[in-house]
Amino acid sequence: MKRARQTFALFFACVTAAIVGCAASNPSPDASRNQVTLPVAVDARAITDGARGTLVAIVFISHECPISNAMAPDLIALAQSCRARGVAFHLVHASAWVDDATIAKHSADFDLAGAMIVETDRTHALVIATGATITPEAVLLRLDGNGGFDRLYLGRVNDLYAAIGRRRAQATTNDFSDAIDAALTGRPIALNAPKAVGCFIEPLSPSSR
Amino acid sequence: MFHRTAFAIITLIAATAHAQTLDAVEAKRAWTTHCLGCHNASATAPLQLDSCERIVRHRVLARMLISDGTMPPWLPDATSAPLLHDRTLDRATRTVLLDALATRESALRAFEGLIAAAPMERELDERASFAPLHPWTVPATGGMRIRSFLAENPANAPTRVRGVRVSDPASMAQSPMRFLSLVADPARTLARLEEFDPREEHAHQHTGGFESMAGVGRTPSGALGALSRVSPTFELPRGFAFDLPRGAVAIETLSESVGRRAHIQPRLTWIAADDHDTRTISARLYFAHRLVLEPDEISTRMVGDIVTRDIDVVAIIVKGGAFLRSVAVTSTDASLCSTTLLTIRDWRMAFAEPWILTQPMRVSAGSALDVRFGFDNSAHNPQQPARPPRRVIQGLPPDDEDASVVLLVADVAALDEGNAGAMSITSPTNSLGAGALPSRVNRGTPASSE
Repeated sequence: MKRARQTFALFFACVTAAIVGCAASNPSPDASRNQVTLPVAVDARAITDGARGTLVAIVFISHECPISNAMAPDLIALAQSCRARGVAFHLVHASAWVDDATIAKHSADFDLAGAMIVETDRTHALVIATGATITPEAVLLRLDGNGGFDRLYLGRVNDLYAAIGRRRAQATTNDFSDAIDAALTGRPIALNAPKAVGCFIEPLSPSSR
Repeated sequence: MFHRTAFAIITLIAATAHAQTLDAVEAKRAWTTHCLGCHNASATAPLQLDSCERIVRHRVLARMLISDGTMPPWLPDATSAPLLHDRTLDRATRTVLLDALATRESALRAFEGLIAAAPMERELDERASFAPLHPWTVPATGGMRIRSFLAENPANAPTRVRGVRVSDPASMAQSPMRFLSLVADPARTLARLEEFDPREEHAHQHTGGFESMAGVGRTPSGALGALSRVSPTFELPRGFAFDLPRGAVAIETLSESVGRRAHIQPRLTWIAADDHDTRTISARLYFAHRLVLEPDEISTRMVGDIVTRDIDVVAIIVKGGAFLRSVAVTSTDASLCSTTLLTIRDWRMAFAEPWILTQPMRVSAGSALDVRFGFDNSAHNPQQPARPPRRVIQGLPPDDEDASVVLLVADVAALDEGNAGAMSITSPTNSLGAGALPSRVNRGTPASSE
């Protein structure tokens, strides 16, 4: 009996982990755009543990970065576009110190929760693995099927901001989306992606909190 | 020998610790003086930097922006006349801050224990506070937008004011509002725009402003001062004041989308004048009449006029959109001696504010006041909204260009000599050298409103 209960508990845990993992790698819109939805902790290993050739798009943001926030509508459009193209999209908060309630409120305020599952990377596992240093910053990975990846793109989402204090009415380039298109169609992606403009991700240290 | 070595080591350690302590004191002082005024919980900057933890969190960004001169924000360059609230950092202060922000450890050492002083609670005088009845919702996307409102002056508002301020500066930190300019509209001339804007959902109801600049006849918006996120208080120097007629005030706002729908409803408070503020301010407007910028055009427009009576220039308000890149305001007297009042070589509307001269500048009758606007409609303009560039005309941002300069001036003839003792006036100096003739185009373009 005890053995049966243990077996069932293990089975239940695996199923739950599988469901969460699937949701994280292929998020679907929340039913209610204004519903407060808590973020999920990103699973860096699950993100990179996919079939060879799988493309994964990641954008790192910060709830207190005005540039990151100004780009929220563009990120919603990007998430929808990735979904339509069969590319996994992850919106990841890079702040180690911010609590789930604050992120949930931010997601509701900016309508992010309606378009995607918002994730947190408090341990900076994904930040470090991808080399991101700024929010908002976009990363495109091609998985190698063995838990590793090639980083195809690290840079800005678009040219909405030329610099701090220099903002356009609307972006005139969609650099990250163009890179995804290039990867999907086998075209080369420029080695030096345009640099992201925004707030820096402060590296973790033992005394960061 | 051992004792001498030990003594030397201990002395060195003590000296280093002392130096680090002094550096930390200097860093905190510099941060408090130059940064905390805007970056605290009760102020207008979007990022709070009022604790060691917050400074460390944004250390790299802060260091980058101080290093390249973006922060503290200050657009006029060194050739401008002396201006109040000049935020330019001297070299020593810049070095102190950059050293303090160099590493995480240095920032922790420098700013540990930083305490932001509790903000001074300025009591709001309800008699002097005003706001439009209805807010307007800024869309989540798009560039700078002008939205103007009418607000009724309280019945017992002061009739002479020295300035105006944002009633709650903290409300601007996350607000889309970036710049506000004011003008009296006692006859409610602009009310017809507010009531009958056909583009609004309820065209015959009050709908939260109207999409138009808010000049009233020949009186430009800015004739009662201007405010911005960088400068949420506008106060004329002692001795000067605006006449404030009863009735409505038109508030022209410039807002920028913040990534979500957000209301704007400017709430402002007058700063009353006192008996010594006897000199009345009026406004002179300069803009490039019938501006047209062809695709890829980079060009300059000069506008100006001849001053017909002695005036003192007190403040300068500049407005401009994505295509304005530089501004210069000069006065040239009858002997062709020129004085630069304001030069901005790298215009950024995000950091615009009204600039008040430290000492009002005397411009004698017969002098020319010139404004040179530098425009860039090329693909290299970092704020170019169109790809490829398209034709731009004078009009509302973000797609068109509304560049203008308003000079706030006071007549000298009306000066009561008996009350002028505390005020010193700067006379123009020759800043270009004898024989230097500034090029003039469109001289005689009427300035407005006196």
